[in-house]
Amino acid sequence: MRVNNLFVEKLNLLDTIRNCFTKWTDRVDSCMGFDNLKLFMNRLEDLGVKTYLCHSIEDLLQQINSLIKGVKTQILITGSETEHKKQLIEKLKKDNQNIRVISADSTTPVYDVELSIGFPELALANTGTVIYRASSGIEEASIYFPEIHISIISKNKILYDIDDIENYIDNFLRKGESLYFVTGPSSTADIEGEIVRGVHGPRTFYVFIMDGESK
Amino acid sequence: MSLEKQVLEKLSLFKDNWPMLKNNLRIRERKDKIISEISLELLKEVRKIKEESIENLEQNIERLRRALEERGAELKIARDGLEASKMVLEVCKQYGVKLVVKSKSLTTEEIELNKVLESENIKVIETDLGERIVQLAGQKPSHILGPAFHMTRKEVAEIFTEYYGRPIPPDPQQIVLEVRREFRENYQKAGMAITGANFIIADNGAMVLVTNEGNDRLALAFAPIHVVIAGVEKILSSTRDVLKILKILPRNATGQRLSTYVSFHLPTMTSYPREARLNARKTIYILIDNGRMKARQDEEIKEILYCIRCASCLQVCPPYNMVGGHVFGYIYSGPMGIPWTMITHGLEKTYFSQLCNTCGLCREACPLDINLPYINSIVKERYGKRFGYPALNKILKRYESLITLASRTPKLSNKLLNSNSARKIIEKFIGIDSRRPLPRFLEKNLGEIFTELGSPEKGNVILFTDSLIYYMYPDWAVKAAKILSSLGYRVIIPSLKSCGMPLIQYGFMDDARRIAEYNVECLYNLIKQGYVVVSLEPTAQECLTNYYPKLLETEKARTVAENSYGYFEFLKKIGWRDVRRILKSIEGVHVTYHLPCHSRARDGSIVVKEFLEALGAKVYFKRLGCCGLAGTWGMKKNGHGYDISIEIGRYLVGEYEKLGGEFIVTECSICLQQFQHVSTLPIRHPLQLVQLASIE
Repeated sequence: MRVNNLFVEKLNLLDTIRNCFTKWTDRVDSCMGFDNLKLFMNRLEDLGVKTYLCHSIEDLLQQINSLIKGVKTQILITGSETEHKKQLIEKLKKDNQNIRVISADSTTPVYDVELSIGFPELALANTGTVIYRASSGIEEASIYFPEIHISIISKNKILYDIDDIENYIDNFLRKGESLYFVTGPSSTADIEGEIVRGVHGPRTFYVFIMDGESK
Repeated sequence: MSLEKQVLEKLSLFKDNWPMLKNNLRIRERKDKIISEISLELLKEVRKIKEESIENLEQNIERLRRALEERGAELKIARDGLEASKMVLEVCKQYGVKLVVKSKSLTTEEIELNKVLESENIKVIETDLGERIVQLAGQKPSHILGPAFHMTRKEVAEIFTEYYGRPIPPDPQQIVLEVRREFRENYQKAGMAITGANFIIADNGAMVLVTNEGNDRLALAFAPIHVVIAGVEKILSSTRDVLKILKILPRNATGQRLSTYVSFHLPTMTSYPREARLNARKTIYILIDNGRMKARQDEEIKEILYCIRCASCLQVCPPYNMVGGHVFGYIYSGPMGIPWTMITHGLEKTYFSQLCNTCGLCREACPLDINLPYINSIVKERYGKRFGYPALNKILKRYESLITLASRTPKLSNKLLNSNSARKIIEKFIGIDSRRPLPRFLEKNLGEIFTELGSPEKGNVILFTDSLIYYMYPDWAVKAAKILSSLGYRVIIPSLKSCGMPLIQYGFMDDARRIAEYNVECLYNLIKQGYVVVSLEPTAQECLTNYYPKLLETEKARTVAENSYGYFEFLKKIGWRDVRRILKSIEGVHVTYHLPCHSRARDGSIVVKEFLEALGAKVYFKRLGCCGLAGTWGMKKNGHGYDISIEIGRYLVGEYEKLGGEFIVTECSICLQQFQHVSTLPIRHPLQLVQLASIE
C-alpha cells in the first residue's frame, strides 16, 4: 500500500463512514422494497432490456401473447417451479394451439426454439441482473440458445446487490445446482468497440416483473 | 525483427487512427461513470482476499481436490504448458474428440494449446468473437480483453470474406450475424469444450466464468466433456471471495456494473442430450503452475499473482496504446504482461519491457494497487543482469554526470546542442534523437544563485528540485522558495543527488538504491531537525514517496516518505486562503492544465488545478495521462522512445487544443519540454503565471 499518513487515514475513515451510511440506507430501502423495483427497471432499460410490470397473470399473458405473435414453432419454458409458471404454461397452450410449448425438463432439442421463457430464482436491482439455477445442459441451453428470451420474476425476489446473495448462492451450489447471472442481452464490442447484440446468446431480452406476492 | 523495427512498423500502421488507444478510451469513458461506486474499503478487502488466497494456495488446492472428487470431477496439476497440453490431448484421444470449442481462455494462449491439438488433427474453434478473428488471421491477441482491438472493421471483414469464400461487408452487425450462425453449428458438433476460469472456489469446486458474449454457456451446454484450464492462482477460498471481486472486476474491466454473463458452474451438470438421452458430463480441471509457485516465493514480484486480469493497466499505458500487444507483449501484454511473461515464458521473452516508460499510471489504475512500475523495473533489472542492459540505457544511466559536465561549460554545451552535426553525433554515440530539442544550460545553476531564504516562523522546508530545475530552470525554484518564505517558512536547498528515476526506469536498481540511500540519509537527518521535504518536481516526489521506501525498506526511507510533499500539495496544506493573500490574482487567465503522471497528492486532489483556480484562473482540464516524454525515455532515438513519445504527445495536444485554454500549464519540467516540442500553444509552469503581491 502507498505511504500511510494522516491524510490517507482521514480519507479512509470518511470513506468508511460514507459507505456504512450508504449501505445502511440501501439495506433499509431494500428491506422495505421501496427502491429495488424502480432501480431494477432503470438498470435494465440502461442495458437495452425491455421491462414490463404485470399486475396479474392475465396481464402477463396478454404481454407475452403480443410478443409471440411472430413465433412460428416452439416456446421453451425453464426456471424455478412457481405457480406463475404452471399457470402460464397452461394458458399459453390453450391460447396458442399452433405453438408447441415445451418445458425445459424434457429432452426435446432446443435447436428450433425461437423464444424461451425463464423463471429466475432471484434478481439484483443494482446491476439489473436475473439469476437462474440449472442442473442440466438443456436448462442452460434454453436460456442462451433462442433468439429471444423473456425472464419473469416476482417483485419480491428482487434484492439490492450482489452482497445480499452469498447465502443463496452457497445453498444452491451445495445442492449441486449451477447458477447463471444474466445482465442484459449477449453483446460484443470486439470490432472497433461497436456494441453488437446477440453474438452468441439471445439478441432480444425482456424482463416481466410480477407485481404481487410470489406464488 | 528488432523491437525498434516492430515499433516503427506498428506506429506507421496505427498512425492517426490509434485503434488500441481508441478502444481503451471507450472503456475508460464508460468506467469513469461508475468507478466511484467502488469504495476504498472494498478495494482493500479484495486485495486481502487475493493475498490470503496466494498465501494459502496449497491448502486451497487440496480443498478443491476434495470438493471436485465429491462431485465426480478430476483435478490435475500441470507443471508447465507442455504437460497441460499433453493432458488435454490424452483426454481427446481417449474419447475420440475431433472438434473442440474453446471459450476465451488466456491460459490456453499462454500454453499455446491450439498448436498441440492441431498437430494431432484435432480442430479447435475459438468461440469468443475477438479470439476467432485473430485465430483466422493467424495472429495472437493484442489485448487481454479485446483480442482484435488492433484491427479495423475492414480488416475483420476481409478475414471473414476469405474464410467464408463470399463477400462479408465491413459492418460489425453483419459480421456478428454470420459468425453466430457458424458458432451454433459448432457448439452442437463439438466433442469437448475447453474454457478458462476467472475464479475457482475451493469450498465447493465451482468454476466462475465472466463473459459478455455467452459463448462459454453454449459451449458448456452441449459438450459432453468439459476441460477447465486455468492458472493455480485462480483458486479462491469461498463464494464470498468471488462475490467481492465481482463487485470490482467488471467495473474496472469494461465499465459495467456486472458483465452480461456470470456463471457459477459445477461439474455435476449433465450435458445437453444427444440423441434424446442424458449424458453425464465429464469434467476435468487442469490447473497450471508454469512458474506461478516459484513466483509465489519471489518477494519482489509476488504481488503480480494478485492480478484479476481486469486490464486496467493496459487501458492507461501510453506506449502500449500506441503500439498494441503484438509489440508490447508476448502472450500477456501491456504492463501486467511484463512480469507475467517472465513468470510463464522466461526472462528472455521480456525484452519488450524496454517499452515501459515507468510513468506509473498502471499502478494508479490497478484496483488492487499492485506496484507494477516497481515490479517492471525489477524485471528490467533481471533482464539486464542476465542478458545485458541495452547499450543506450547504459549511457543514459549516466545522465546526471552528463548534465553536470555540460553545465560546467554552458556556452559550449548550448552551441553543441544547437548544432545539427553535433546532434547527429550525439544521436549516434549517446542515442538521444537529434529531432528532440534539449533545454538550454544557464550560466549559473541553482546552487550558485541560492543558499537559503526566510525565517522559520511556521517551519523549515527542504526544497528538493532534481537536476532539470537545478541546472535549467533555477528561476522556478527561486520563485517557489520566495513564496514559501512569504508564507513563513525557512527554505534551504541542500546538496542532494538527482532523484534517480532514469536508473529505476531502466532497471539499474543497485545504482538507484545507492542514490536513494544517499538522499534518504541527508533528508532524514534534516527531518530529525524539524524540516519537511517539499519537491518541486513531481517525479522527485514520486521517488521519495513510492520508490525509495520500496528500494531501501528502511525506517528512515519511510520517515522521509511520510515527511515529503509535492510543492503544490504543501501549499494546499498551508491553505489556499494564505496563498491568495501573498500572490496576485490571475483572474481572466484561461489555461489548459496537464496533470503529470507523477503528480499525486495524498488526498487524490488535483492540487495545481486547485492552486490556479484559487488564484482566479479559469482552468480547462481533461485527464489524458502521460505526455509521452517520461524523462530520458522519449529522448531515445527512433523506435526506442522518440517516435512513440511523439505519437503520444500529438494525441494529447490534439485533445488539449480543443479545450480552449490560452496556455498549457503543467508543473513537470519534462512534460513542459514535450509540449514545447509538439504543441503550437504556449506552455507555462504554474509558477510562471503567478507573482508575489508584495512585488507590486
